[in-house]
Amino acid sequence: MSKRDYLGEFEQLVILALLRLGDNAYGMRVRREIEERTRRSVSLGAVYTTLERLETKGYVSSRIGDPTPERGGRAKKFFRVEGAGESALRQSREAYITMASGLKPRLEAI
Amino acid sequence: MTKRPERVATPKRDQFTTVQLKPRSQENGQPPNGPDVIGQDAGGRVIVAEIKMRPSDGKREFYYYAGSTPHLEAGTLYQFRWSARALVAMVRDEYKRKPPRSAEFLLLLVPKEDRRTILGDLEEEYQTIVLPRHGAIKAQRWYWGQVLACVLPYVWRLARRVGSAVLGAIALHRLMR
Repeated sequence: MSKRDYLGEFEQLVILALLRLGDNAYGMRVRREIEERTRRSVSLGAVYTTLERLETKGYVSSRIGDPTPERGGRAKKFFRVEGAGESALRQSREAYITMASGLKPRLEAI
Repeated sequence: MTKRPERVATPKRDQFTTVQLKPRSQENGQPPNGPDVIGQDAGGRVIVAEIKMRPSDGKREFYYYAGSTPHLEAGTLYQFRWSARALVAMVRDEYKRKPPRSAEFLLLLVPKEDRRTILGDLEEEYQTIVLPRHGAIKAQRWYWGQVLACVLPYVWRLARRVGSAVLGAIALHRLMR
């Protein structure tokens, strides 16, 4: 397993948000999904730079949607997770579970 | 031959009483596409104001009508002189409904391919969620905060690239000596 297959914490959150939102995953929805579930403040810039990085790695792909009036006539950019992205997420999750195994009582006490 | 509608006299300042001046931010963020009831004259006629977009050049025109119902039919509409107070209120309201355009200049720091998408996302959230929930002042503050937060990751990335290039150039210069 190469080092590149591991995802950072925010990258994992973004991919999980994309998986949750399915076909309706675009910047604003991803930002709100992370903010509402994790209750932490997330900027659209952080979401887009992360998505761009994940796209460069081939973990996600994007397509441009139709412009809508409530967006001032601007188009949405929809994202979806690719197989490589799902695989990287699985590996990161397994690594976390492996590291955390046996530490449950201690982690719960924190 | 169609009957020409009777012209209604322009209400004088002392005849004009405001009965409703609803902030547009309370209208669930809907675009201003209908007339607003802004007052009632001494004869009990409803004064209606409306902002219309001119299809030819997209500029906004202001109309001011009087009648017996806020939903007037085209044939019964009468254009009046603007009451300065109503005009100012509508322009101010219209202005507050829009995200602060001055903040968008900061987004010139964002790459062109992301800029339009980010602007669209910000405007959608501003119009559909933040403005109806929190009102114009808080919504504009939120917009400024989001724009600043949006720009920071790009500025940081740019700074890292420039820093790496400078360090690389220094290292190369020392090796060459």
